[in-house]
Amino acid sequence: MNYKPTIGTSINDLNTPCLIIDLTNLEHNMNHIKEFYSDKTSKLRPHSKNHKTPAIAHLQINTGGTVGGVCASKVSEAEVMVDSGIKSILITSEIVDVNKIRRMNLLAKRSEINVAIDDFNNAEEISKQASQENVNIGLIIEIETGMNRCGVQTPEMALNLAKSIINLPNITFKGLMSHQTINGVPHLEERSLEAHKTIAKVIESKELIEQNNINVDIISTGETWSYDVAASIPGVTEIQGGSYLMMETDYHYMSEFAYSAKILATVTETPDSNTAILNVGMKHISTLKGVPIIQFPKSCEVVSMNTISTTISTNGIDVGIGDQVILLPSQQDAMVSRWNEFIGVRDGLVETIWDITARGCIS
Amino acid sequence: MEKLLYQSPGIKKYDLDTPALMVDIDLVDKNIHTYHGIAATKHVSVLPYPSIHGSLAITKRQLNAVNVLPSICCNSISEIEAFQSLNVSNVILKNTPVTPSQAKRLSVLTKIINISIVVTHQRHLEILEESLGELTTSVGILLHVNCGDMISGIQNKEQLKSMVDTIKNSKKFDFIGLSTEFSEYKTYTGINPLIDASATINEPNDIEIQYMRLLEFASSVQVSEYLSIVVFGENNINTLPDTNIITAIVAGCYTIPDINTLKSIPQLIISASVLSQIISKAPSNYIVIDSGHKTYGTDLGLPTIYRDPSRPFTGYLNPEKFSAEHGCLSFPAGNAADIEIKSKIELIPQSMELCINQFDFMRFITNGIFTGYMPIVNRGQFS
Repeated sequence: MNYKPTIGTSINDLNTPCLIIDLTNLEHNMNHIKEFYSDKTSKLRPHSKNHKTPAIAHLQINTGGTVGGVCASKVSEAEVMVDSGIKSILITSEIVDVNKIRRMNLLAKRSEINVAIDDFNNAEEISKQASQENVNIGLIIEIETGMNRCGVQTPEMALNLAKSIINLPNITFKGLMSHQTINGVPHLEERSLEAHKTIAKVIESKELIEQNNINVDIISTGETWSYDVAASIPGVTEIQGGSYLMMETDYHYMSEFAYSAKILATVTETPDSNTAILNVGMKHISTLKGVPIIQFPKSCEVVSMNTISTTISTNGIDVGIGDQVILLPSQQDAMVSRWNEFIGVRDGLVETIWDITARGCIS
Repeated sequence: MEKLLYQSPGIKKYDLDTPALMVDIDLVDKNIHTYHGIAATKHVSVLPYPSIHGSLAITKRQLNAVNVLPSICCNSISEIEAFQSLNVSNVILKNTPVTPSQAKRLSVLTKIINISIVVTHQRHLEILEESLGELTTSVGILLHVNCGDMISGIQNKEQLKSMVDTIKNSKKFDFIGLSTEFSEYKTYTGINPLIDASATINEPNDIEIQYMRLLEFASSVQVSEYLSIVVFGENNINTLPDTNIITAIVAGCYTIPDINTLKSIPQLIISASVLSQIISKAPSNYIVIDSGHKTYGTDLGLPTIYRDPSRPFTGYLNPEKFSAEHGCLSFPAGNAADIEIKSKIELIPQSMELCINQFDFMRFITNGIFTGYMPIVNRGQFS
């Protein structure tokens, strides 16, 4: 039987390392989204890849400001969300495998399923399989807007693909999606400029397709860094946001959101007066966007990491063996997927434990 | 947790849903035979380290091989709990519990399993002494000495002697020997250079120098033939001196070697890989696969493509950039024509330990056929 803390346990008594989630900050972030989108025509479609936890997905939807459904990055993730009762899913990765398409189509018996595509043969396969299952799948053409990854390259290619798929049986061409990133520490003006520049290609594609008498109901784009500015772009119907919920140091400039997911670790060694070793490493915290930042004690900094430990400089702070340290991840969805559960804390006490039900669901 | 509803044993490996962590158990056995053989030539035994691969089935194969200690090494108390069913005679806990609540969990476990603890600091002994309660049996203590330029470990002989005295004066402890970690590279200054491209990797450490320091530590506390000398750093097996002082090398990755281990121990063969699928050819210079950082755990570097002669395109694709969910593989101009969306491709992780923790299950493969799911029992068992 593995360790789980009991409800009411003090954070000081938690066995570490563990993934904690500050419920007050989590609710603050969800409430901010609710208020921001209350007077907008577009709404947020929260990305479930970030938390992989149906309990949290339902909290996001119930709090408000959303389209009433979620994004999922993989079929297996979508399966967990549909099993939990979520009624609208956008799968943001292209699903090309015949078996996975069959799994996806089975989900459409219980939920609205939309999926990204950038290739006609893929759409044809989805249509063929959907016909056999007697379901309808919404197809969203992905537009490449700077990631140099999936997605058709030009508005003309989007039009041609839309034309080629609209008459396929058991699919509905629903619209377009895109994903883009921004580097550095951008100001609002820079974020607005970059969002308008990248999403312009999607809007141009929408207009071109509509000029050919094809309806484009969904423009699903944006992310945490553009949750506000993308919402002001005419034509955008939904924003794909995930990181805002738990936050990460890569988005530290989004000061309206609070850090809610954190790693609680413990000092295991103090080789010298300015150095401490923690019982946490790359196996627990992703370094995809850099090493974590130490939130507590302040002034401490990460010096190096290996798979199961981290060396920090204490910079004159008195730190001893057994002391707790709180780390903030640079990128949290790649961190969350390494854990089995969130320990929900409020005012220093454990209030709930959420199993990360879709952990390991990467197919 | 991944549901296993959709694919049954008997299908071909290339029909598996992706990403899939595939392990060829026959090749695992060959690697065990090879590694244990090398260890025998160095006069050391192998101490299985399932923290790396997380598999009960693979650990059993390690324990059933020749030249092995009937013990395992675990990183955390949760891992010991996860591997309880192995019924080994002794478990070495690498990371000392430093809080009273963890020490109490350990105390409970000592009632059913013999546990030895790797200790690096006098304070660890004090915490254990205070927290272990009324034990019916004492716990073994391995004192971990710093023989190279690692940051962790007992730094000098005076500290070591003092800690040995503390152990001998306690009824709760048995001094069972020393442990150390032989480093492959000198300690990095600043951020790990594998993360920070601006830093440089230092020269490999000289194992002979580290071994001489180990000898000095051992002689200072008169480590006798009844005590153990346990060494971490399995990738150094080829460069260990032929010696009798080291009792065992703690090892796990050699069973399913990653790129780091394959480079250090070229006698090993690839026994595990991750099957991924090409999902897009939309970019002009990349193909996109359905697996990224959250599959491969690319913190220590990008995976390497398994060059399959029967799939010519695997010969010229190269990993370029991996995001959380996707990987982008580059190809020479004009070479993408024979690559089809839906094609599957095997990649070898840079760090198997980080990759393993992304999965709930391994898919065991024999002669190209999927033969069964094997759980990764220590996944997420960190505390």
